[in-house]
Amino acid sequence: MLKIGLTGNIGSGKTIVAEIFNVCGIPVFDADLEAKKILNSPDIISRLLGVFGKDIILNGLVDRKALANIVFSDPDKLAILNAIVHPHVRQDFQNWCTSHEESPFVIYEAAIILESGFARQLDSVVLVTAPEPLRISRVINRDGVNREDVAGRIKNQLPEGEKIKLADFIINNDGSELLIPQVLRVIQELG
Amino acid sequence: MKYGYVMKFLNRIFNLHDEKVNYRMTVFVVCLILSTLVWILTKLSDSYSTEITFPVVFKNLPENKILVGSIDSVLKIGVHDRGFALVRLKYFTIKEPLEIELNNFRLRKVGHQYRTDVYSSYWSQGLAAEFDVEGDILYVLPDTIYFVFEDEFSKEVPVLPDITWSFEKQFLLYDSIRINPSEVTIRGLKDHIDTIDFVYTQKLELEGLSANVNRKIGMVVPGNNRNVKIDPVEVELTIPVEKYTESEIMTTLEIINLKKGQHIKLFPEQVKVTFLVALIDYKKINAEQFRLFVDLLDIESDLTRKLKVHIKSVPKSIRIVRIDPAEVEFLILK
Repeated sequence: MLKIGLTGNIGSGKTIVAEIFNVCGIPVFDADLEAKKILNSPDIISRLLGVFGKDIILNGLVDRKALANIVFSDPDKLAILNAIVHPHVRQDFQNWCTSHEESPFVIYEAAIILESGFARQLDSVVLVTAPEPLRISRVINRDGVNREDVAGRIKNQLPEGEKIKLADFIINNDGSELLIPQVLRVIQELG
Repeated sequence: MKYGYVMKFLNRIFNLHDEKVNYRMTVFVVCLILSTLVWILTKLSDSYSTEITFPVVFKNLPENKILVGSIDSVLKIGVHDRGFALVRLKYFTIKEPLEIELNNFRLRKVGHQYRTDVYSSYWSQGLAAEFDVEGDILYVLPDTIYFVFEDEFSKEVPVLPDITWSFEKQFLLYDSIRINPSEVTIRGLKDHIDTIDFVYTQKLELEGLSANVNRKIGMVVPGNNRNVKIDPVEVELTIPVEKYTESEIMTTLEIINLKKGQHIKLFPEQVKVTFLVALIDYKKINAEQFRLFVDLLDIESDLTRKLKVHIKSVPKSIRIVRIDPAEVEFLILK
C-alpha cells in the first residue's frame, strides 16, 4: 500500500481534492483534523501549558484561536507546536494505515508535509496549487479573517514555487481546469 | 411762473438763447397744441364706423361630444358710434373673452357627425351689453359659425413612467416604481383613442437619489394630440429608495432529477451567494431562505463535466451579485 501525501498552501483547495479522492474510494487521513483532536488530549495540554502558558486554555480546552495568534506570528513557537503535536498525528496515521491495507494507496492530507520533512516517509506527494491572491481571497471568505492574518499564515509556509519542485503530482485549482479529471489521472497513475 | 417753466423746457430742447425768438416759439408751440386738442375733440364727437375684434370662448359643449375642426376664437364686429366710444372700445376696454354657451343649440346628425350652424348675429346683443357698445352693430364676422361634433370615446390605458434616475452610492431601488392610479381614462375621437395603448408620464430625470420619491406628475398625450384628454391629469409617482449593503451566505446545493438508485457527489457541495440587501431587511435574511440547486437533466452527455447552479428561491428583497462557484463539478457514484 502506497502512502501519498496531499498538501498545498493555505486556501489552495486541499480539502475538496481530498474529498474527491475519498469519493473515488481512496481512504483519506485528515492530519489537520486529527491534530485538532489530539490538541485536547491531557498529555498534549500539559505540554502546551509548559510552553505557551495558561492563556491558551479556555474552559479546560486549548483555545485554538489564542494558540494560532501566538504560533503564526512566531515561527519558532510554531515549530515547537508542530514538534509536540505531529509525532502523535503521525503515529495515529500509522495505526490508521493498518486498517486500510486493502486499499492500493491512502492519502495523508496536511498543510506542512513538505515543510516538516514528513514527505520523506511518504511514497509520493500530490500538491494542490492556486495563485496567491486567489488563495488569500478564499481564506478571507472562508474564515472571515483579514488579509494581514492570511499573509501571516502564508509566511510560515514554503512558497508554492518551491513546493512544485518537490511534489510528484500537481493539481491546478485556479478554476481554469476541472479538478475531478486531474484527480482521476493521479489515481490512474498511482493505481 | 408758468411761462418761466415753459421757457426752460423749450430752452432745454431747442437750446434757445435769444429771448425774442424764445417767446415767439413758445407761443407757437402752445397754440399748436391747443388747436390740435380742439381738432381731436371735434373729430371724436363725430360718428364713425370701424371693426373691433372681440375674443370669445365656447362653453358647455354637448356632453360626450367633441368639437372637431378649428373654430374662430375671435369675432370681428363692425360698430358705428361716436369717436369717443370707438376709441374707448378699441383701446381702453379690457376685452375679457366672451363666454358663449353652446348647450342651447340643437344638433343635427350628419353621418357620424353632429352639426349646428350658429349665426353670430345671435350674440351681437350679448356682445353689445358685455362691452357696453351704445352705437349700432353693423355686422359680425364670421356671420355663421359651423360647429361640427363627433362622439367622444374613452378607454382605460396604463401609465408608463418615462423616468431616468441615478442613486447616491449604496442606495438602490427597493421595490418597483409605483404609479397611482396605474391606469387613466383617455377621451377623444375614436380614431385617436384606438391608436393609444398607453400613456407616458412627463419625462423626469432624477439624480443622486438617497430617499423615497413621492410626487405628482403629469402625462404626455401621444403625438401631443390636443383633442385627447386624460383623466386624471396627474398621477402619484412613488420611487422607493433604500440604503443597501453587501452580504453573503453559504448554502448547500440541492439536486433535482436524481434517478432512482443514482448517487451523485458535487464538488463543492456548498456555494457562496453574495447579494445586496437593504439595511432595513438585513436582519430578516437567513441561509434557510436561499435554495439553490443543480439539475441532473443539465447533463447532456458523458462530456458534461460541470453542472450549472440554479436558483430555486431567494428572498425577494435581495439582489444577487454572484454565486461562487456558478458551476460545480460532479461525480456519479455507482
